[in-house]
Amino acid sequence: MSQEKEKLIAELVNKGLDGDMDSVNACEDRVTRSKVKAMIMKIKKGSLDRPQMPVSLSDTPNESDDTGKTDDKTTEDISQKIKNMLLDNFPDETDETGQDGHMYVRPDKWLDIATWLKSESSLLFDSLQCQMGIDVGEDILESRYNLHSMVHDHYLEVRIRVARSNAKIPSVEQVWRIADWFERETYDMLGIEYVGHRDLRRILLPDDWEGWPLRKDYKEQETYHGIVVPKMKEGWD
Amino acid sequence: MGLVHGEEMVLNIGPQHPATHGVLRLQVRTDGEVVSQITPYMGYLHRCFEKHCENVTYEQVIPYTDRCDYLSSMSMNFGYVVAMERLMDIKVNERVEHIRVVMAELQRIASHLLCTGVFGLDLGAFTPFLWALRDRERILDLFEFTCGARLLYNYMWVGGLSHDIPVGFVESTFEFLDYFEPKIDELENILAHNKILVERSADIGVMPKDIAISYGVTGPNLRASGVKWDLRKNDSYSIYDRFEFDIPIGEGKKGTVGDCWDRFYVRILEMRESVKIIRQALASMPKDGDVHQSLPKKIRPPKGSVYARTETPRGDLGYYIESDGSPIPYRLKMRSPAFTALSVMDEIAAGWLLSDVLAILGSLDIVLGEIDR
Amino acid sequence: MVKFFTDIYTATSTILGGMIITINHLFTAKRGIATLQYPEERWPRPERDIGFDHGSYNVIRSRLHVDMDDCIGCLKCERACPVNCIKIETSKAPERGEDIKDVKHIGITSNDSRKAMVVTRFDIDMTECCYCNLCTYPCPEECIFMTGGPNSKKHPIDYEFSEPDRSDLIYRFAKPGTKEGMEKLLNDDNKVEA
Repeated sequence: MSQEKEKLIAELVNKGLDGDMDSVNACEDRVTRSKVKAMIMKIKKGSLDRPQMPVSLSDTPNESDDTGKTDDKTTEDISQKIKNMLLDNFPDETDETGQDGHMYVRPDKWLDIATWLKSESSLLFDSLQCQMGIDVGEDILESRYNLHSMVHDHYLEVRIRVARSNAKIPSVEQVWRIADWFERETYDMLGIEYVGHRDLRRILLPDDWEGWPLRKDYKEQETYHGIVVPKMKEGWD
Repeated sequence: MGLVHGEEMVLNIGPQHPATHGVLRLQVRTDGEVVSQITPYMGYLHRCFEKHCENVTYEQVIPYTDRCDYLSSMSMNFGYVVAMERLMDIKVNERVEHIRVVMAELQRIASHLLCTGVFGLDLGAFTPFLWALRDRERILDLFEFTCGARLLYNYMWVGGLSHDIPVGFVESTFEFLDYFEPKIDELENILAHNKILVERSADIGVMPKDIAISYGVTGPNLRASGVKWDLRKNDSYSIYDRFEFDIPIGEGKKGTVGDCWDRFYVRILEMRESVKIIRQALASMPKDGDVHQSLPKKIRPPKGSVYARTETPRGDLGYYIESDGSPIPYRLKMRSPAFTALSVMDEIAAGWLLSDVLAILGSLDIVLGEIDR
Repeated sequence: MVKFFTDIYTATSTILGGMIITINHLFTAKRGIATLQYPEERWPRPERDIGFDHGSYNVIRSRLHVDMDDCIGCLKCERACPVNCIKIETSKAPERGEDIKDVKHIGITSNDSRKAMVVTRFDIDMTECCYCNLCTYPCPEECIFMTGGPNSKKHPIDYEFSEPDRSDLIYRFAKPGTKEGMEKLLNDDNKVEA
């Protein structure tokens, strides 16, 4: 469900609970109307909590004495605006879920999105600060990108989820040249394959090492070229 | 240079080499004496830092971070501590912040001294190297006075410091600064303007702005290419926004903007700025305050992730910490500045002579411990 | 042509400038020769005055030492070590705070706390130790410490402890024979009770 719809539903529920059923009935979309009425019934019965009245984007922010708070609010507003721009331009590929509202992107069109992020004049994310891979358990691997714009000085974090058995993500090394080595390192440590990378091979471990060390189910190999990989010192138990 | 083609030769500047700043293997394809492609091979110093961090508690990670960039351990600690305090929302008191800034800037001077000395050494000048190390010894003496260790400190803890500074530290530091400021001028006069060094490093290995940003190069390397970007001013952390200091950028005095000489000279200028910051920090340090005041009893950060960057002598150090509520980190990634600096080697070193390759490598200031982790 | 001469001029002037600094240095170096003849001369350890009681501030990184008579077997230092170089095994003392003569176990520490456990094994592998000093902070009895400095009364400073054989660097602090003695004692107790 998109953000707008959720906000509309919350607004109508609040109005209905305050006694204004006319605005609920005035809603033209049958699906939304029935959802609102069902929610009002549940809240009156007590099985659901009343949602907060959403603040529309045109509201002016509250005056606060603490200037630190308004600074945080401005950075949040900017990052929310960036996320909204991304959501609007690529609605099928992106969605914002998880706690703290992280950006998740589907891997299929990641190269196009990355090119758009770099070239769009109001965003201009020209530097990839950090790219890392993480094993979040339940057979899901994530590849996370921290982007930064030197021109506008704003930040964005993008996450891409792939299944462990089919970990393929398009490579963005044409867009940000440092992604070349970052992706090699993620491939080395986690086994995520970057499609389209010019030279995907291990960077920190020897080329013929087996296994992906940073996965949570990694078991070291017994011997490497005849040398025993030590697990524990002798006599130390 | 392109008219007569010699034979193509593949040369190995091998892992055991005194001028590669660690165990680094450079596979160089040369066309006669001119280099056409360089491929760095790393991993000889890989000690599985990130995997270790998934098995020890948050306090025990700090000795591990020390050992990544062993030439500027205070800055490594600082970066980790800033990231953790952002994750856990801890605010430390004024005295701790001032001491941290003083230690970080002293560490910056020590690291830059070593880098400039070694750059001279790579190009054949032996005396300035020893002088730079002699001055660095005095800084290491100051560190030993404070925390007992000369190189790997384990000094900055999450929420404070391990020890308070001893009585007499402030006076000794002022004495050191008064001794050291004329030494920067001496180093500059003997090394920076020397015609031999200028010939060997000016106009060589030019790194244009857009390549530097696209390759993620940060720190003095980026500033030497003309970009005025310093995390201490642009994305301020700790109390750096209270101090007045300039950001030196490369101007191409002896050649083009962004050549080896610029990268070398920016570091000398930065040492002067660090001296200014230390003086201001020592003057405004509060006299009382407990450095153990905000140490948490047990470090259990809330679930979530944080990415925090700080400015080390080599560039932008980033820590991405993902926590799942337990006292052991779930994933810790260190984005090291030397990793990105080494990646630009192929781009800027192609087309120069073989002896220039070492000058370029020396000017990038890499430490293998940080690249391989 | 002009460039040729200006080049010669800059070259000679900068090189001469550097040489003048070097020659000055030869005559005005204040500290004299910086080389120490090592075994006879040593660089002095800095005297430190923190400004208040030294008791809990050990700022020296040197050899680790454990006062076995004070150790209560709480295992806090084992947990604090980042490289797992401390291995401790304990066994329950039959009576809390009482001396056991057979294994030379003293029941009360110098800080007047009564021990409930007998430490049968306390090994520190100094080849693995990273000298981070993290094990000394949690000890409630201050019995594990780095020698020297404020702890000079308990043990003089020692940072030169190299050994020709690597296995000599595994320090065994538990009193020899403690493990067998405790097993024997517990078996005898069982026999008496049975």
